[in-house]
Amino acid sequence: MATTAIDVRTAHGAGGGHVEEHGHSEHPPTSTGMDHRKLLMWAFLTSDTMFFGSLIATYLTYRGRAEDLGEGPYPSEIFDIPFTSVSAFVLLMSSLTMVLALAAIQKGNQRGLRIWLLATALLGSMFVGGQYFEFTEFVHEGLGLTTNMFGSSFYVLTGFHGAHVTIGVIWLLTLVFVSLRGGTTQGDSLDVEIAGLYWHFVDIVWIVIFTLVYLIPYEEVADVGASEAAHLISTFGRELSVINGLW
Amino acid sequence: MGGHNAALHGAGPTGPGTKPGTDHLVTDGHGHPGEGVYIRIAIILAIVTAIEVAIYYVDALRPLLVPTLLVLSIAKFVVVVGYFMHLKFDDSRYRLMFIAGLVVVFSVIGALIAMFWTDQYYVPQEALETLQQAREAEAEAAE
Amino acid sequence: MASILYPQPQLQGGTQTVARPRHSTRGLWSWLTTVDHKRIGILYGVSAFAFFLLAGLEALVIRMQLVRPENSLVGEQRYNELFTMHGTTMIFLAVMPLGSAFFNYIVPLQLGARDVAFPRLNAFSFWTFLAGGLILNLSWLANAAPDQGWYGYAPLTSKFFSPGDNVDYWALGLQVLGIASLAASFNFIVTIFNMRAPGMTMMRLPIFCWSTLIVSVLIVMAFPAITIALALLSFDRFTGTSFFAAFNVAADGAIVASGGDPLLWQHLFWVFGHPEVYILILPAFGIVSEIIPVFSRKPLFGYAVMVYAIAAIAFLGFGVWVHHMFTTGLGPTPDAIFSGSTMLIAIPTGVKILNWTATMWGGSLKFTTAMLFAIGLVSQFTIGGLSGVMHAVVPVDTHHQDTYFVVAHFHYVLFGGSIFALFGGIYYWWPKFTGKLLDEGLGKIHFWIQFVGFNLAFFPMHFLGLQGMPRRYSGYGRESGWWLWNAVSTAGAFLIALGILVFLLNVARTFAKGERAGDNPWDAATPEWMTSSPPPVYNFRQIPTISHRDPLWVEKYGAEAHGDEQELDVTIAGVTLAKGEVPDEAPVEQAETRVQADDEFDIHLPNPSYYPLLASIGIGMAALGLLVANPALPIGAIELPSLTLAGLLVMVTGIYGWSFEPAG
Repeated sequence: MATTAIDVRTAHGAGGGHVEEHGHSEHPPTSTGMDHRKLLMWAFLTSDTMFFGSLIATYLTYRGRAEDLGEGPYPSEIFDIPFTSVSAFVLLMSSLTMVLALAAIQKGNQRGLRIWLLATALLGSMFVGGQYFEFTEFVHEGLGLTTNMFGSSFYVLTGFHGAHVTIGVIWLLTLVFVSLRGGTTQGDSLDVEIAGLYWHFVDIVWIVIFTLVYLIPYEEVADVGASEAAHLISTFGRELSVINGLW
Repeated sequence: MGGHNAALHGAGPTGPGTKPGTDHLVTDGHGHPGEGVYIRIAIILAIVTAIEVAIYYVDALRPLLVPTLLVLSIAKFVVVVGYFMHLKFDDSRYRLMFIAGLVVVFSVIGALIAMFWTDQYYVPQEALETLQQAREAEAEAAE
Repeated sequence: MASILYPQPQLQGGTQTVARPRHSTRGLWSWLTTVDHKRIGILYGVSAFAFFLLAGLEALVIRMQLVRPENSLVGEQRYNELFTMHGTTMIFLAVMPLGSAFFNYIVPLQLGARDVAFPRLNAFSFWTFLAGGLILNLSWLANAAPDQGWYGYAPLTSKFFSPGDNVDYWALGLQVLGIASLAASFNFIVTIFNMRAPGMTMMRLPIFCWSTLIVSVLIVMAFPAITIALALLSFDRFTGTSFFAAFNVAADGAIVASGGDPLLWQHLFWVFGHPEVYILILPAFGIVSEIIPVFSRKPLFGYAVMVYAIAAIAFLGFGVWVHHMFTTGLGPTPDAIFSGSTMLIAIPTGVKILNWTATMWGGSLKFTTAMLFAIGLVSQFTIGGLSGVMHAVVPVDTHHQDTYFVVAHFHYVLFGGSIFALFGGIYYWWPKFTGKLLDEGLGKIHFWIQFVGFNLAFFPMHFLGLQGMPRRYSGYGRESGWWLWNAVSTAGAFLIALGILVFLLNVARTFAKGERAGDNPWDAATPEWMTSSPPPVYNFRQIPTISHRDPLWVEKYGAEAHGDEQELDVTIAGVTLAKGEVPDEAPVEQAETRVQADDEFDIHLPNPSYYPLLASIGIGMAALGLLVANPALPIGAIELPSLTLAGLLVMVTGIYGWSFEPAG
């Protein structure tokens, strides 16, 4: 067996003739060529789909329950579709400004970065502000967190999403702050890219929520539930009959 | 026999091109589209959102509303992930990871919701009354 | 054989790198601020073992209570607390973190890396785990230990049925532990993908790294479900919603239907809970897959199939959760589907059992203590696996539900499986941790006492279950006829305790006068044995280059003697190098590199940091604020406890300090 130790590549630029193109020279290579932090962010976002998946499952499970029990206010009477559409539009456009911020810093444009990041943060704040306004309106119309299952599942789902947006806004403002201190260079574009991944993810979650929670009309879904096979045993009845027996 | 003891490594930052431990050349996915593309995509997204809201108000389209909304929002989802999150242009392993996760979540959550929606809810009136009586009896006993 | 050198994988760019020797490596502060994966592994191991002993004591009290009919050693409430805390502690504070201890210590060494991808995140995971464990066990001091079972079924957890703080300690403790597990898993996914030594392709990854990777993926995809379930439960308990109760108490005291559904809890819990079962067993499978080849003196049989089997178990693990809910009356369709998927998952598991057996077949077996524990898993887990497949059959499951048969089943897989393998791992890697060998004589005594005790304790539970003895009852009547097997089971439990005492004695003896181990006492094959035992703080003076799945064996005995593995070619930059081929390189550069690498101060390691600890303390404070009495501060329309707010502030300070630690 040969025992020669071979050093394929040692110092900078040694052994030419290979592909010299590499985007982030500051970030050392990894086994896969994927950046540590970017891989972490994608893993986190994949995990976050399960987080929102569980919340959406909860919402959809209880969709129509308030109508079944005859406990208002119902979503059909309380949702302000034009208002929420504007909110959805605002968040969608914040994704555009976010991606423009990334394009700016990839070209080394500090000023562009700050402007677009601030614009994104502003649009994000508008969205959160709109959500605050919406929640206050709903409370005025009699829908509290504990009023009915619609209130509980609606506030918790959209509230968790709003918390995600709020964290995103704080993150963006932090990036602006770092940039103002002169800390962001072209090589740091990955910092912006990762924040952007988070921000766009929050946007796609809203795309799903907007459709499933707001736009799909309520009567139809309630009908689907009611028309299904009645011979299946209701788990509620069973659970409560157990309690009944205990007492 | 040389083996690992004879093994050395480069101490400083390594040169460009190859990635250690990989079988092939990897580039970190930088075929990003330009600003023009981003703006066009944002316009398309805005139009799709407008269509979604518009058809919500057209009574004639009601029977088609739910499937149309689902298709449109999935399209928006795919476009944002593909272009704004660069998944279309990035390393294919990010794509694989995210899509595999989505498949698991979609299957699990879909099965979960299906099990509830095929069940019928009724108000457990009798049991509630029993609970109420037991509670009142407890309160009386406490007095 | 050609050993091919690649550039050294660097630590992550965002991590501040300064020469390690400038920092103190002794004293409490160095442990509190450590980001060294080996130290964090030891911290995980020691604290998890302490929790293991605590949960074991709880089990002994349970067995004492059941030793004879109509016993009154502990009251019913205390009994409920004991079995709840025994289960919760064993699962979340003993078996999972003992697995994490091995992930932390062994995985970077097996990868040929100097640390994990995010060393500070790793420290944060440990401190958050510790905070969660302490919150959970603080409940004993508050005399409000969780008493609803480790599964926390609704509506037992509602304020109506559990008015005390017991459930809150459980829910918030688990929530904090979830953060720790998620953070650790993201870290290990990135580490295993990105920090492999040159030449270590995914199919050359030591099998323990594969199981770590798959477990991390499982945690990442399963934990969010329980995060939401616990959050909704906390909403139910703190704000008066009723996500998991079909009724609510109105302001006037009337009981009204709310539309909530207790079954949703079961779904969300088991969507997490069943993958959790594999989270507990897959690290054990990984450990055993490392031990058996070494002491059979043969490469692992069917490496690739083993990898696919782990992946298949993990994937199928997301599609079987309803088998925990067969008796809730979901109807024939879900029952049939999930019964089928549950039977399906036995196939990859059976493949693993076969492969371990085939690895031993024809090998020169060395029955060291580690090997005995590994064979212990193979045999005992098989028994537990078989009773598991029985539960896939809906009518049988209906019969066994909530009886001791189920208790027997999951102790055979969790104790006979996970705990046996974890002890095997401790005996196997102890020389790697400490440089000394645990005493083999005492080790074998430990194994046999524990093996006999385990079977005495848990095999009779099969009989008790089939005779109808229900789980979670604090006693049984004289006329039941269950006395004999319960007494036998209690005797077995004390034998297990004796076995653990022998282990502790062994550890103490080893510290006092243990035999020096040498770098590779077992003549093992995987890269963690390429460095000294215990490893230096930088792990490898030179990052090894991996040209084979079992590099040390190939180096020592030659590739031909090793078997028929066809993976001896190394591919660099798309060019495949055959054995012994030498690419053109300037010898001068090699010499320069050698000089640099010999200079110890040139190996850059991440700085110690106290910010991860600070962030964890903040999370712990925030959770405690909701549990202990402290003044509330009104924030807008809602009131938040001041301790929680202070905790959140501390957490944010920690995170920001962490992000902005000076880069100079």
